[in-house]
Amino acid sequence: MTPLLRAFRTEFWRIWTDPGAASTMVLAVLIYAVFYPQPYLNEAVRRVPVIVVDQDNSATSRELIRRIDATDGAAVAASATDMQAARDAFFARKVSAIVVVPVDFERDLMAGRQSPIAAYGDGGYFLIYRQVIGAIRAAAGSLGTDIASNRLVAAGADPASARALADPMPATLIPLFNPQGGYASYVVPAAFVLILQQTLLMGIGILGTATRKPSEDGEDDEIACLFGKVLAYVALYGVWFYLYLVIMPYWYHLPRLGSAVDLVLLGLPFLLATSFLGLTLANLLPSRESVVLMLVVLGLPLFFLSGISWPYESQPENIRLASQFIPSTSAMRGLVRIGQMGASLADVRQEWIVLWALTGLYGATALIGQWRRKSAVQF
Amino acid sequence: MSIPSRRARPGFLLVLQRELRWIRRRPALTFMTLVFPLSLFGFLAAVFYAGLPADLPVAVLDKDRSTLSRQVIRMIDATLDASVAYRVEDLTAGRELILQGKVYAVVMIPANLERDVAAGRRPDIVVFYNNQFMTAGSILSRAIGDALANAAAGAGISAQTKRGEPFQSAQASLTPIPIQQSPLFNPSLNYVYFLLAALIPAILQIFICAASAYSIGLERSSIANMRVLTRLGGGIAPAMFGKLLPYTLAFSATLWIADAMLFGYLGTPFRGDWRLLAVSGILFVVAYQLIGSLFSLVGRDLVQALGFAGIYTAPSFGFIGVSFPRSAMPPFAQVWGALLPVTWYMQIRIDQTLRGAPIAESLRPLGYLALTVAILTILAVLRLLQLRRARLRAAGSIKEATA
Repeated sequence: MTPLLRAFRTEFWRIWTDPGAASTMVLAVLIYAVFYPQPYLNEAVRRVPVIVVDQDNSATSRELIRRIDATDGAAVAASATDMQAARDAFFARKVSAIVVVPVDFERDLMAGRQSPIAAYGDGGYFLIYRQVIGAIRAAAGSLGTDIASNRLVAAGADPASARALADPMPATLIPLFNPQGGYASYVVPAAFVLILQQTLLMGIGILGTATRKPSEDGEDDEIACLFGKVLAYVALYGVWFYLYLVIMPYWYHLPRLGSAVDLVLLGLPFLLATSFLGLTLANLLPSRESVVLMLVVLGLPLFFLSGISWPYESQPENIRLASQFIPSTSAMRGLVRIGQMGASLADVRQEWIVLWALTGLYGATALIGQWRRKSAVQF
Repeated sequence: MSIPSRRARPGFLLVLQRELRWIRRRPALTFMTLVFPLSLFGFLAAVFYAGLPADLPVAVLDKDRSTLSRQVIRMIDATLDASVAYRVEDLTAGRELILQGKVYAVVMIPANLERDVAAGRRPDIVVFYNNQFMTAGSILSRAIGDALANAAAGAGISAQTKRGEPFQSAQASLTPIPIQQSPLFNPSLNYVYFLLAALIPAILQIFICAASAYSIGLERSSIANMRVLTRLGGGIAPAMFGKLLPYTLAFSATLWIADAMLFGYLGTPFRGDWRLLAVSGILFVVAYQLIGSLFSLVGRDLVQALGFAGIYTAPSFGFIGVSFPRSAMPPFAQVWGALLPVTWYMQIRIDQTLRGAPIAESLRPLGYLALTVAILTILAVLRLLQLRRARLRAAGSIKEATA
């Protein structure tokens, strides 16, 4: 058997027999696949509860409220007679938005004057705020256009041109991907990539084999030894990669547009770069415990660096540049575009190149770490 | 280890002094309780420093090339949120830019736009936006939708005034029901406040849990240490108190420094009751100290205890209900979220800082938090008693064997 295969076998065996490594690289990976997506499985807040303060109490205000309730984004859950009662319901988290229809709403509208209403939403939930305000605007817009064109018809215009005068240049907004605005579709695929990276790095740190000398394993060919270890990590994580990016999205009904081949072609440099980075980090950090701690606390910040939930363009230039050195940044951006948006490998070539460059860089640093250890023994 | 003077009475002060000496000798602990968390918050503040995303890149496909279509493009580019970064010749090119991650939306202006608007044929402007990158997608669909509505209103007003309608009534017929919208709190809709306010405890709980697992785990690694500890304290309760107190103070200080940064330096609005916030903050710290200690008292070794701590604390952010409301989660996630002390702390924290909710709204979560601490204390004491019994039994059997 060649030294490479021997090193592979030794390391693969160690992953399964070291309790710390097995619980991180096998057990935790399996648990998180089921556990992590739980909060998001309902995908979206379909009908955000709204409370209405109808001070006009006219046929038109009731029609407006009915149209708000008929939207996909909002549901009229309660009504209140004054603003104070509505605020109380809001603070008790019974409703997420308040609509106020003022006195004389109908009269102003019929007289051809602008007749504003007020909408207050929960500014703490970015996407839900936009959803509920969007629903209220759509309801008010459709009612407004109907009333305005009716008035123009009454004034003598023919129905088609009345419509054109009230709404001359309509816009159609089409979501290209994740059309339902699902939260699981949005967060889970990217988070899965990060979980793969963090558990792999942690496992390599816990194994502590980076700090073992090849001679301790009865090897003297350190290059074969290094590549044998990486082969073991990539073999195991290749399976997890398929589970997380192909099987689990299928299981959770997440959007799957890309080809599995392209996913794997981008996944390979990701797993290689991460494995070499793990071996490098294990050389640098003082103890196994510090590796675990460091990686656990870095999970959330690394997620925000990916640009999935916080646009990449809005991050400071130097942080953007530094984040390129972390495999997950390019991997999350590229794999989500392939998996959930159907991009081809050519569309993600920039990420692909960065990941191969990182493989080269961390391959070199891991090798240097091993050589330094060897020479430290000799002298 | 220096042995305290014989005359000193056992009590929590001795344990406290011992712990302080211990912390002084181990810079890693100070790093973990103060330096590392605070620099991580500083880093996150830098990531979100720009505030709300602005000038997100958009591509335009202008098939009309008229005065009106150029006007429409200018209005999109003039919004705070969008910036026209590319002009494409066909939709395939626009789609490719989205797939390459270079733009988040493509605006398609149909041929003969200007002529059809003038003729009252209501031509449709179509906007494709990337909703997989949902933050950017939703910002852009709103901003472009608003810009197009303004452009349409402009076109409609000029068409109607040409027909002899007065300007006022033309405007009223185009937007008969304008919406005065405002978020109830967070008036600037600066989402960064919420994100940072939520991220601070979400990350700190990991540190608290891990540091406690670490400091207790070091004691547990030798049975002698555990005995010294209970002797010094003169009982389990004072020993635990003296052991945990320095970290309670250190982590509370870290929380307060981070909050001073957030509400002071970064100018996040504070509209609540600071005493309530402070009390719940301390309960939050103590709860995670106890959880970390329990992991250490149950785990086989330090690495396993830290592994438990990691698995328990790391995925919490999703369950807390700040990015996605808890009421919309499936039952399992709701129950799991309720078992995380940080969920209740977060509710009090958001209510008593950004929301400015009445104090009465925070009493129930405060009660849950206090109950959690009480239950955890009981569990920790029971486990310690169990360990002591096991130790005494082992000592007894050794005596028998030697006798």
